[in-house]
Amino acid sequence: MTNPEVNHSTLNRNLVQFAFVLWLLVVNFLYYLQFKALFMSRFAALKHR
Amino acid sequence: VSFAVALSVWLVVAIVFAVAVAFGFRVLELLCFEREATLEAGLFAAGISFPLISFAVFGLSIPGWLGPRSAWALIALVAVAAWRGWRGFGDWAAFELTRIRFRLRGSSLANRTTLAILALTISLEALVSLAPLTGSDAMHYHFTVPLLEMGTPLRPIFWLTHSFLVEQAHLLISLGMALGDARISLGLIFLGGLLTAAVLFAIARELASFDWALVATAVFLISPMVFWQITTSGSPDIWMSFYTGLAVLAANRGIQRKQLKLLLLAGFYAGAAAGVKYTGWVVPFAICAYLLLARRSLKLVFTCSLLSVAAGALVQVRNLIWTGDPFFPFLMPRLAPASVNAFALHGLIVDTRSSAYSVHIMHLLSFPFAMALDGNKYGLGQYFGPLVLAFAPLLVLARWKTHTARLAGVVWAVMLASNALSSQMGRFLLPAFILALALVFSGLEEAVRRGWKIAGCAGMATLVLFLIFAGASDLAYARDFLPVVFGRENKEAFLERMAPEYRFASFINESLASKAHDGNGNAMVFLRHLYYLRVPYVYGEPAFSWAVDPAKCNTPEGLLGVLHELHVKWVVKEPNYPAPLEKSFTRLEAEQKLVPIESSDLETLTGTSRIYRQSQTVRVTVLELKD
Repeated sequence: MTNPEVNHSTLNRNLVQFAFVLWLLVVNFLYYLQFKALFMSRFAALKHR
Repeated sequence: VSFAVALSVWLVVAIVFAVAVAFGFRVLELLCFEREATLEAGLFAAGISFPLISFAVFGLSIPGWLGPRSAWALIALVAVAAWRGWRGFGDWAAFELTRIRFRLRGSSLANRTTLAILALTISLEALVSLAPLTGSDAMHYHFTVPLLEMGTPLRPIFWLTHSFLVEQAHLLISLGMALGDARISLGLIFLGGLLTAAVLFAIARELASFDWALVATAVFLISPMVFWQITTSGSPDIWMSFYTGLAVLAANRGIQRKQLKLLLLAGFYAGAAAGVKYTGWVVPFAICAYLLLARRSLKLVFTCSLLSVAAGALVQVRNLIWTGDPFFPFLMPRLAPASVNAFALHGLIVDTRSSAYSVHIMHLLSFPFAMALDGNKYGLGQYFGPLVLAFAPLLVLARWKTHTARLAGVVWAVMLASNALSSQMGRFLLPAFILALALVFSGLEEAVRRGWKIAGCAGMATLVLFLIFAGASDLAYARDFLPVVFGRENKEAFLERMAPEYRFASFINESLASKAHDGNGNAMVFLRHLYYLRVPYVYGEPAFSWAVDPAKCNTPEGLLGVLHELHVKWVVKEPNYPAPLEKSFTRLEAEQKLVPIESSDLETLTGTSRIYRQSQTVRVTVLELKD
């Protein structure tokens, strides 16, 4: 027999964790995106060399 | 840089460190602190002696006595004064080494990996910090002002507004220069970085296990911000992080052990943090506010504040005597409105604020996010990395029941709020970075401990991604500096390649070497990077030169008056004059009162940062002022 309260708490915990994972994806994406200009300039310098 | 030079720099830095710790142990003994061999005790010892050594350096600077002999005599005197402190230092060093060996023996693979990352990062940083000075702000004032002050009686330099922002941590730059070389000054900044990492470890250890505290320390040292700050920047701001962390540690211990003297020591460290930068006064404020809440004793907070003032107000007293404004020039409109150079004041305010600064409520609320995610607009906040923001939701799981977490949280929050309201410059939050890291890693560890597998795995992936990114970035950054460190590139070629406006300075030095002697007259220059100029000069860019007020220079006669006041004999334009002076200077040229004597087309780095590798060729002209 399953305990509905335990299931509820597990569900909540998983939801919180998925929300956190989503947050990490957004932060990581936006963070690394801002270095695009720097990567491009370094790449251009490398090509020039 | 030969290996022998590198060794000698490290040797001097190691001597200064050992002397400081031994002397600190002696001071703590005199103040009736129990002798301990813990990491914390050694850090407390270092934290008490570096400000005291700085005071002595300041004392030597007043009459202009600071030089190689006096600096070495000072170190020798402190070493002798340390006396029984050397035993404390010996015990401490032996205990720490044994503990490290013990930890290494029984460590897990993850632990050993973290230690390897730490060792590699520190080694790379140690090497890069040996490169000759090329940091932009350092070449403008952090190193320039100590160089100008060396061997001459202390006096205000009104033609360089930033000289008033040179504070107590800059005295360690002066000390390094006096001990023999600017690279020793850079080495002392690097030492400040290592000490800050140790303080972070000690704080994190209160909030997390050994393994996670080690990870937080590795993240701190590998982050591009810290890598840059403690190696090539030439900025002494890292010392503020060290003292801020010490203040938190001492206040925490004081509350835990109910020891008044530890709380007072926290006040001293908070004051030392304030002595590094004007913005540092928020540290004693936050520490005293917490102590007031925790201990509810006005008397204690008052004594603590007094100690903070004693430890950190040296430069405020100096500025007060020189200008009537302890925070020159920011309070001048209120304290001495008649003496305000509105243009220079505005220039400095703009320079110390981020390009996106705004106090609109939505802007303030978005600042903590934007600082990390759009860092170029917010004082390079992106170089801290994304981890504090990424793990911020886990702060709810941090060990908030401890005073360490609460103290760290309060100081971090107050610093963040004060930064958001005053400058919105991410990099000014360096002292809060250690507190933030200790807290978020406490939260991450708790999430893992609670068995939050998905969150834990995603957190670990974010951590590993950042370590790879930061490690690769640090290596790519270091590549430009390592050839000169290993002696594969000579200093001149390196400086021409990496130091902004170095060719301008060399050209000015060559052009005026035979003409300009002491007392013969000064060259007025407008280039920002002054450190490598070796002829008598004054800085003429009105935005950062209090002595050159555009309101007084709007006619050729007015400008001539200012030039005569500053004993200017030559003027260097590259390629034009600053806009507010352009008209008057052009008229002087047309009237043949200012005659070109030499010019050259020179290449220089340009743009907001040299890492973008933008350069341009500029015509530099030296003109002579005819009587």
